[in-house]
Amino acid sequence: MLRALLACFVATSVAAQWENKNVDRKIDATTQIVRTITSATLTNIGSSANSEVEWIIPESNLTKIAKMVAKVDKTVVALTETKRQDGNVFYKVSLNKPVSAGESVTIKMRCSVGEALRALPATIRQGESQMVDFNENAYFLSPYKTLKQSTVFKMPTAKVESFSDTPAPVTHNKDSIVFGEYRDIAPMSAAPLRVHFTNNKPYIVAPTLKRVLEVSMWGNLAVEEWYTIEHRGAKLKGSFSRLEYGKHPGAAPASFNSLHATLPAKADDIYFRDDIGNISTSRIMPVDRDTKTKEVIFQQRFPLFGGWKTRFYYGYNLALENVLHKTPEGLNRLKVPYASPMKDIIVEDMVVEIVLPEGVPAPEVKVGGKKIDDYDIEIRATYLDVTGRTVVVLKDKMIASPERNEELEVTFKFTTADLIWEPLYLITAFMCLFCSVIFLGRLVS
Amino acid sequence: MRNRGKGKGSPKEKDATKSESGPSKKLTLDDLPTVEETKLKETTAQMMIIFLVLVMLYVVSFCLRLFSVIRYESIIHEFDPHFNFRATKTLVYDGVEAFYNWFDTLVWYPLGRWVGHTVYPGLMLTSGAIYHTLHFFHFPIDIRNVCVFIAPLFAGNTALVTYILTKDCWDSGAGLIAAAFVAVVPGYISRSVAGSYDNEAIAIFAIINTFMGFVKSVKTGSMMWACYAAIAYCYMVHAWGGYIYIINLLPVYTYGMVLIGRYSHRLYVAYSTFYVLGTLFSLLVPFVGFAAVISNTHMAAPIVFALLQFHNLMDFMRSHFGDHFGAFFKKAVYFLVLSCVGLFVVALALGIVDITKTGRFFYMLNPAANTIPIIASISEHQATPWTSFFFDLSFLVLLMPVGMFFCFKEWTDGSIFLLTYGITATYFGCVMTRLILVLAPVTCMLAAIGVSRTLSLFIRDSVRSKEDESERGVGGNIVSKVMAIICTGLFSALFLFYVVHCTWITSEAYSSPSIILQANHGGQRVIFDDYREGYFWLQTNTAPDAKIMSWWDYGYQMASMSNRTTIVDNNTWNNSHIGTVGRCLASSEEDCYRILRKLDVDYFLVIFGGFIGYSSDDINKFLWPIRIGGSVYPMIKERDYLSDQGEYRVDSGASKRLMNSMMYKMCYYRFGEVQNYGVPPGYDRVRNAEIGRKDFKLTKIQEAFTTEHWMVRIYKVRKEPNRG
Repeated sequence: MLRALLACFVATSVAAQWENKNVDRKIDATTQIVRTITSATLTNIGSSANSEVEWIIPESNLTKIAKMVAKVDKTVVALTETKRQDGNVFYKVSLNKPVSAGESVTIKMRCSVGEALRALPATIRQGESQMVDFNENAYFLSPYKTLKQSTVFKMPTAKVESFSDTPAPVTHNKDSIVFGEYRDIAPMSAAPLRVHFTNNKPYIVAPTLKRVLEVSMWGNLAVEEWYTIEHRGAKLKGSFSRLEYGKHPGAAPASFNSLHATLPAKADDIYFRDDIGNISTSRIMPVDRDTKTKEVIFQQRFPLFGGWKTRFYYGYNLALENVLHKTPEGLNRLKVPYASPMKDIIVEDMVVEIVLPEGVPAPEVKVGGKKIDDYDIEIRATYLDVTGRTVVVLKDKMIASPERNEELEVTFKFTTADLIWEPLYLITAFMCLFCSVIFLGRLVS
Repeated sequence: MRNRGKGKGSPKEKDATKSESGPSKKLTLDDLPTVEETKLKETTAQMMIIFLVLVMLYVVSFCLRLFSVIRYESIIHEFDPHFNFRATKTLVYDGVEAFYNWFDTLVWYPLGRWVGHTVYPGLMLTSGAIYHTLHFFHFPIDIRNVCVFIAPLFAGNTALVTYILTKDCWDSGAGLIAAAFVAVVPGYISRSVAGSYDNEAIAIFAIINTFMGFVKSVKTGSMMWACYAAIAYCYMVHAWGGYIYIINLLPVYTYGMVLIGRYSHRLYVAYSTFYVLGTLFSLLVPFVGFAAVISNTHMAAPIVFALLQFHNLMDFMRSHFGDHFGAFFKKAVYFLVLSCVGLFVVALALGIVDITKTGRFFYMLNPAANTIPIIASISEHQATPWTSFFFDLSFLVLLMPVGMFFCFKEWTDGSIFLLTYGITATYFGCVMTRLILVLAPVTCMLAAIGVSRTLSLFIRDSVRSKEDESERGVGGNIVSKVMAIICTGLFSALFLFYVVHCTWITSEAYSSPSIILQANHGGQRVIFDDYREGYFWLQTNTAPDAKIMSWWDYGYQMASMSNRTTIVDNNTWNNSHIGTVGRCLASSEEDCYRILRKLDVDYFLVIFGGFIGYSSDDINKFLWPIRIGGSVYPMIKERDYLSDQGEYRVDSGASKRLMNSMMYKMCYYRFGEVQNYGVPPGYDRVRNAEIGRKDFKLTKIQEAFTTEHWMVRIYKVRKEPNRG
């Protein structure tokens, strides 16, 4: 209670210190994920140097946020939640160096929100385009006064059904709508911004994803990913007609039938299956030499319309030298991408399992440079294991790709001497077998 | 007791044969070497060779069956294997007890099926055991892979026991050849390729294994081997309904042995032990249960058992009371037999015993008597066409009589057994296509005996003539040498041809999983994966409790791959339920809808091949639904669905009734709008005809999903709107 009061007091005292000189918002709704880049230039109107800025997010958005990163001069600054009040969440942006009175600072906030677009109408027929409804605050929500603000809203096509034209000025230009610019906005002011437009981009949502990364110190990293996939766009109304679907490409604009993944160029033995066997329709594109990646198109068994679901898993092998390095201390450091390699997908629940060799003590795990302590450890016995392998289990929610293309770093201890055990088991087993056969043979003859 | 075989092998006769051999010698049948002569002495080196050959055969028989895995993938084939696979998953994940008590609510809606008590659990138990063993040693193998590879694995085992059985009946040379034959014989491969996860995959091993134990026991009089046979029989009863064949063949063999005067205490010990233990064991299988002691299909065994006891008693009496006791017993026997026959006739007349009940068994004995359409509709229950004997057994068909001939010549316990097995299996192989499977191993064994015997004659001749040369000087047996070389060459050519034939057939005919189709399109392999597309759509996009109706062929696959409730499936235990589905397909939309609502059906699935030319689709099978439906509901008459000329056709000459049937409508819904180059719109590429009715609407059902090549068409049954 006391803390809340204190926080309240701090907030109001801080509020007086800043003023939004200029705010530019770019809302990109060309895919199912709404990506907002807000660059706000703030001036310190207080009397002393300050290094803390308040930032507000509507609470309803909180569970949908796939990524939120604030940067000042291209360096990431820390965000910490301070309080929740009237349906808003207050964050504290801690600047790296204090801004003295009268000076300005520009904060660039990237925020990706999944499931922010609502299909309207909620059901459509097979041949119809999908329309979505987007609601936002026309003003930049801030505890400070804003001097100048404008918002650019970008859509996949120029087809727009309707949009709110207040507060003026609002201008529609092809595939973008500009709201603003607005001047002298009072703190915490709000006005509805609404756009109803056509968006046929696949609404791919993976309610669950399980990634399994198995490290074999014999030189292989086996990656396997288990997806459940859902089309979360406008639901299909009426019947599905294969005749119409096959007539021409684009006959069913709101549906999708493939997922695109970006895999490392050295990924080998790629397979693509589901519960009942191979899915024989996938394509591997040529390696992109610049990024050292290759694109793989996972075409599903059937096209997915709104409300339809499917399930699959795929996997590949990667030579370990590409991802595993020795640290100066003699430890092994595994560096792999953390999130799903699929394009424009929202993962609601992700489990990452890193299967380390047998007998490895609890490793150090970092995601995007941030150390993670609250991971689970499981023991799993597979081929020729006696005590079982160490499995690090990480759990995460609401991850949009490719926003979270962070690196997962696992540092663990494993010496080359530990490698000899498994061949030794085999040698012993075979020797016992041969010896017993020799012995029995002698016994018989 | 007579023993002609033994008499021939006496040293005196051996000498006589030897003295006759020379350039002037004419080959007569009596000159053939006897079993004892040709028998290989097993030195350590020979044992090593035999061991190596068997290991290689094991590998060959395993590898030859992998065509489908290499060409397609590790997948369960056909129809029945899907049920077995599903049952295995239940066993592995839920435990043995849950499996035995498993009442499957997913099938035969709304009746369900008590699977635990209507299934032969041997296959599932075997896979489960392998699965758990491997997992115990931390090999995280997928249950599907266990199921896929179990058949090739057991094919290797079969080769092994075939070797032992033939060795016991004849010699180890013939045994090796028999094992080699059986390792690649197409008749057996047809049911044991990787992925063909069916009861027969392990049952053939179990049959031969039982016979092996029994023959060993008859030869040695060892109770231990009889116990072994009983345990092997127990496994067989768990594995396959074909165990009836064993429990009838062994009594027939035993009875035959008694009749021809080869009764011995060894036989007595073997049969008595086997029968008692075997019957006790077979009571363990819930599906068999007390049928093992009360069913008339099992009656031969206890009768022969009683007879053996009686025979033994008589021998015992005779040995104590002398020959004059025989006359009295003869009368007693006549009396007994007559009264038994009388009792049986009375029982038959009173209806206590009913021999018509077990349809399939008596259908096998007398195929002409069959009239049940549901049995007749299954292609593997048809009588075997002549060509398939050569197709499945290659030149073994010709060599089998040779082996039989030698068996008749060398009258031993083992050879008589092979003869009994061979003759009965030939009969059954002729009656039903699928029973070629039972015939294949014995054909291999008898053919191997024929080959081995003939070859050993020539090879020994050429070897011996060398010895003779030193005795008789120059000018030895050059003719027989040449003959030997020619004959050996001929046989080698035959073997080569056999291997080529088997490999070709395996790769061409028996290695297709049948749920994935493959076509060559301008040198490129095209996969038609429509079945799985449709089934997986059902699994992921219908309510978990949705009920799906289709013709029974697809029931097992749907339960396994879609995990949804089906109305009828390949178990075909309820004729009237299947008849109802047949009626649904044959009747008009309104009539069908009434039944669909009564059965609470949510989706209706048909397989349609007209779009890409897949000929085994539902339209081509349609006459069977009509016939089976007609056998339950007399208002459905086959004649109504044929054109005026009595032809089955789908073009404009088709009958009105057919064009108005649900089957026609579901298959051809909107098909009339399909445009293809060079043919009129709505051109059916299987029937090679433009369909007769193109413009119609469906009011009670709606298209829910159709796969890429239109092969699987799924319709959603509309529910009635709420009243008021």
